[in-house]
Amino acid sequence: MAAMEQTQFSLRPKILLILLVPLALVFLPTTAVLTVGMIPTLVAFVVDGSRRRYLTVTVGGLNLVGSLYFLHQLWTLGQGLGDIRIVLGNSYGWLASLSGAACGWMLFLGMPFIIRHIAAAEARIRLYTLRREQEKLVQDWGQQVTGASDEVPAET
Amino acid sequence: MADNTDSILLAGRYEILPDEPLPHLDSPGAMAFAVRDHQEAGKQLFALIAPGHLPCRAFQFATQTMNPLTVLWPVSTGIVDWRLSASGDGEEDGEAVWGRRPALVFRPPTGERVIPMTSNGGLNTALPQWTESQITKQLLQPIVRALRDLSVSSLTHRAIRPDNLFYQLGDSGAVMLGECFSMPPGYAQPAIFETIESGSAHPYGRPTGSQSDDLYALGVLCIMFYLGRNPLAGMSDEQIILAKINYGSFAALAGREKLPPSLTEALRGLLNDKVTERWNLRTLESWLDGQHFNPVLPYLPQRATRPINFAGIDHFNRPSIGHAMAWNWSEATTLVEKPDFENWMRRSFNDEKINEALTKIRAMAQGYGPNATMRDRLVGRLVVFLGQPVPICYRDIRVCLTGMPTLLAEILDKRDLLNQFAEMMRAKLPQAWIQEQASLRPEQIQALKPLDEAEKYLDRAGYGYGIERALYELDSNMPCRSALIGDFYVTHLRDLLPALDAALPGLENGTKPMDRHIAAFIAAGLKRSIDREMAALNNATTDATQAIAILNLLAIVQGVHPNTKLPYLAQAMKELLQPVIASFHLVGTREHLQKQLDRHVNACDFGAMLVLFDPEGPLRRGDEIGFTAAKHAYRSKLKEIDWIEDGGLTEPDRVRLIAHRTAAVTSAFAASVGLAIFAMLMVL
Repeated sequence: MAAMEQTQFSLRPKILLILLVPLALVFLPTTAVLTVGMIPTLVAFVVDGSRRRYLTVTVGGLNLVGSLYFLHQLWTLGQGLGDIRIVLGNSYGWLASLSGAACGWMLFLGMPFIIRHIAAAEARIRLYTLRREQEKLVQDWGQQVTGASDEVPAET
Repeated sequence: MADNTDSILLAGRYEILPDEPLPHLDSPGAMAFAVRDHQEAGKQLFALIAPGHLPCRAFQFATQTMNPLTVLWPVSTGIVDWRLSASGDGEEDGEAVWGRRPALVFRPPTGERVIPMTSNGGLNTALPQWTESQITKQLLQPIVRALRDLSVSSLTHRAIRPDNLFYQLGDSGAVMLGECFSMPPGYAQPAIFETIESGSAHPYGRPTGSQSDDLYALGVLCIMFYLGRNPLAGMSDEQIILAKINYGSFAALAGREKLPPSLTEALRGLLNDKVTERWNLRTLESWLDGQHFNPVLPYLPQRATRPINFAGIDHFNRPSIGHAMAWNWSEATTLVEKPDFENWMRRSFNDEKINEALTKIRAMAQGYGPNATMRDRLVGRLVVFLGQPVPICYRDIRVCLTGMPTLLAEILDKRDLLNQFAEMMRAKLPQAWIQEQASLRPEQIQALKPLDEAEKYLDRAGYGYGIERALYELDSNMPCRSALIGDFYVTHLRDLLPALDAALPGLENGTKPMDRHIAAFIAAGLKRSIDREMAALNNATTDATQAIAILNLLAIVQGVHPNTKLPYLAQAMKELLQPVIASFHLVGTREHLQKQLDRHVNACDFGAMLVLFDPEGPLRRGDEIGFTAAKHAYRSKLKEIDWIEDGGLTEPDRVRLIAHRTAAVTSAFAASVGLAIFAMLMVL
């Protein structure tokens, strides 16, 4: 069973590659424009040392959204190979694509600051809740529930 | 409890008037008071108030009826509230101290007392001198009738002495016996009226005895009334006993006197020291009817070939030296260590088995008890071996088998004597005494089982055992001697809880309704073993566990003798049980318990209280399980708090991981939304 799962995992990228390569060849202008527009994501991929590639995903997602300007222009022009130069020469397209990638970087770098504040608030709330629950236990069961020896009820 | 103005009523009819004492009707140890009969006004009655620390044998025979012209017999008996000290005499000025005492109501005798009552059974005053005929008609015939009446109910009188005789009418003629129930059997009898064994015993340790003891006293009485004096006047009790041993009772009392031959015949029979050969009632009745019997030879012990001098007297036989040792204990402990004594024993009686007997006695004495009291035990066993007939003797204790309960009750507050009594029982001297008897009388056989029970518990420490348990096992009619209810004369388990309830208002708050005497009284009074319950009481280490153990015992008693009118006792238990309630952990359970306890206290239901606080019950178990879970939860929360306070939630690596994951998810979500909008725009 473990061997089968291992096989499936190793086969999946190859199958994807087999499917995507003909598709990329069929839609070669689109492939070319996207490949060029997603260069910031490639850069992020290169610098991303994490196992789960969070930086790549974050930058890539927003870089893709920014690159949609190129796609829209290409598909409007008719998806010819000659249209590639026109599209990639559009500075607004590059602005959109790089802005998307920049937003991804900003999101990736700014999120820890936000999360740290959220976690601190959560810690305060959780501490308050836990202490309330402890007080309730002491109220219900007496000081002895804390393990302290004060006010020890007589043993029976 | 009666207050100062309440009348003291017995059986709802006889009002005892404590302010009207009748000293001429007193009995030794019991004062007489006037009585007013509420049903028959003008009827002459008086009451004797018996002491509160001894069993009163009148209660066993209260329903019997007796010819009023032969013996002073109670018309009613019972326990009455009694003022123990008058106003101002008590600890709190102005408050009379009340208790309960056995009361015996009698019709006054129609004649006068034969001689005034004195401290020595009437021997200190002049005695009437009667002829043989007077003795037969005025003394023997009526007393034989009285003894016959008593024998129908298997009773003994045990108080036949000159100052306990009344004329049946006026101040002359036939006599009748006085009362015999206010004090233990033989209590006020001078030694001269008692057999050798009984006369040596402590007044409280004398035997219940049999009819032959009454007949013996009657014989002595006949001699005294014939002579008009005490033939052994001026002799000490010890000298009287030794004289009886050495010469036989008849010879000691009448050897130097000139008595009529026919009377001598009866007196020899009545005063025979061998119980089995002593005249019985039927023989005496036949003699009174004119029949004659062969003279009974006196029973004399084997005479030694040479005497042994002890305590200033030459002793020629074993019983003589045995009794002398009992009366001179410290000298006896020295004597038994001297070779002269054993040599005398071996050489003077031509007894081949004496060596074996002495070796066995020494071994037995060594076998039971510590080395420190070895010589006392040896003397005790030698006295029993040599002195027959002799009471059980140990240092200052001289007690007959059936007199042990009353003597123990009497010496209970005398620490030294009490220790001696306990040592005597531990040394198994009663068993040694029993083994020396050729045969046991029925009343002695009846005493064996209580004795076995008492010995079983004597050496066990703790509540419900020890000398207190022995006291109540020896006599099932023994009043409880607890300091809490000692004045209430509680002789039956049925009366224990009401007495505690009545006693508690006068005691300090927080007084526990349990002590060694009450525990022993309960243990002895129940028909089943309560060792488990006593173990719980003795092993209790906290107030709470002790309270539950006490509650358990009270619930058992209440279960056996249901009684729900015990408000003060229930209230006292409520206070005692507060630590038990406090021992429950959950506040809600404590409140529930308090409410339930209040309800059961109002109902005075100790059994229900016990169920409530049962250590194995659902409430206790639920509380323990819940408390364990709560402690676990508290510890978990404490750990979590520590983790958070140590920066667990804001730890940089954790925050970074979450932040990057969040960023990735946010970006992926934005990309999805963007692609969806783009696709829609392109399609449209």
